[in-house]
Amino acid sequence: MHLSQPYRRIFQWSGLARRAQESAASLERASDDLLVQRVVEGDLRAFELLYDRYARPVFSLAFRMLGDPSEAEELLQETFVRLWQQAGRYDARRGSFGSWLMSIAHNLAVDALRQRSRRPQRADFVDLATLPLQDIDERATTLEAAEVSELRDRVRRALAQLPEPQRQAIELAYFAGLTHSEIAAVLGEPIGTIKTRLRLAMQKLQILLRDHSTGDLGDA
Amino acid sequence: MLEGDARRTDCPDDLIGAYALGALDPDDLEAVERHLALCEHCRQAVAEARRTAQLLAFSAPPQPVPVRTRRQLLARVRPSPVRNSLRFWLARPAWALAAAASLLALLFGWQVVQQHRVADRQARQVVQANAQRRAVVQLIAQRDGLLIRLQGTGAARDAHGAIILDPSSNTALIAVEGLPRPATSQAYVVWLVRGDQYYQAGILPVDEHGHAELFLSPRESLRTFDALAITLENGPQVSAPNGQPVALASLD
Repeated sequence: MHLSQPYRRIFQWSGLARRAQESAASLERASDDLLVQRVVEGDLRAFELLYDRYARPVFSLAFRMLGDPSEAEELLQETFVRLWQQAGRYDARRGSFGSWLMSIAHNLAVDALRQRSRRPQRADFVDLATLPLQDIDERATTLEAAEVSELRDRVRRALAQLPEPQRQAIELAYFAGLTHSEIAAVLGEPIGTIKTRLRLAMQKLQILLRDHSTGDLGDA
Repeated sequence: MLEGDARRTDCPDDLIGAYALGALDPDDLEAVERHLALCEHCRQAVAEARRTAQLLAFSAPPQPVPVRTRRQLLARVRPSPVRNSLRFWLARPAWALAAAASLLALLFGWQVVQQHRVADRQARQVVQANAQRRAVVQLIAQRDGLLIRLQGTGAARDAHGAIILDPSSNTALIAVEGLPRPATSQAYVVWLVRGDQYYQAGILPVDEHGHAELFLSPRESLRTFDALAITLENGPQVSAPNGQPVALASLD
């Protein structure tokens, strides 16, 4: 918005600019749940702050699952459009905002994978960390929710503690959206073996991640 | 605890984890969901397993997010501009217009701060009329003025600006930039809207840089109007809006 010099000074004198700045700073410190409430009320600034905090984990998940940067960008947008339209559906009693948002992204990604013709060889994922990007959203990195990085490390450590066949089965189920029989086909193992691996893997993960899976995430 | 006559030994414990992961084949899925309808114990087990499964989402290797995605997303969720007619918007419930106005006012305030440096440079290029300047001083001196953002639409979709509204002195200043220069015979007409009635409030003059400002001091109270609209008309002497809508803001 362009305003001529005298008008801009008048704004400053009147305190409007200061009040706007104070309001923005206070919003930046708000919890996820408060920001969601503001989004329900149509607050675009609160929406953008949630984007700052969660764009990167959502995009990373989409990229991990779809293996295509353009599709991952589309999914990132679609996830946040759903947030904008359906923020009122979030219920803090049922889990953290971060988990709720990531579930939306995961469901969208699974739908996208299932719309593709199934390619079981997708089990061999591309190394996605080497994607060259010219134009990076720094805010989405620097303002990412602190809990996201802590949780990322925690879950990766938990996965690393699983025996390799169990970890592989979990990743094929969660990130590739495959069912028992599809995983069995990909790995050339009996379906009963796959069922056992998934059951044991989930039991162990539930123990390793118990405090996080029942706790809260993202109250910045 | 089981509901009805189902027995605890029927619980598909070995499938709960895979169910939470979405990895069940159709037959197993159907059986588990049938069971869940009857078994509170398993529903709780599913909820717990699902919370664990959801955490897996965070384990993806972190990737840099393209900055264009934010721009595209914000363009998608920002309030849609006028599409077909002003009445389309004015038919919205009053609370919706009020919410939109609050959002726009907040956004505008934030943008004033964020774009301070840009405004500084641009501000030096503009010369404003003394009369309008004095009017703004009076407006702001009241300290209860309202800022309402204006966003262009249609052929003027790049235009943006604000209305500075002071109900106590019943005055308003419209400031817009990025407006295309109208053809010689055309004019941007400002309307105050009450219900289905449109009252011409003035002509919005546009300079060669696309800047436009108009000071309003209507005889009737601004509080009695629902909205302010700008249309592009085939001439300044029009009694009702027939041209293309350019911008609309709720005054609620």
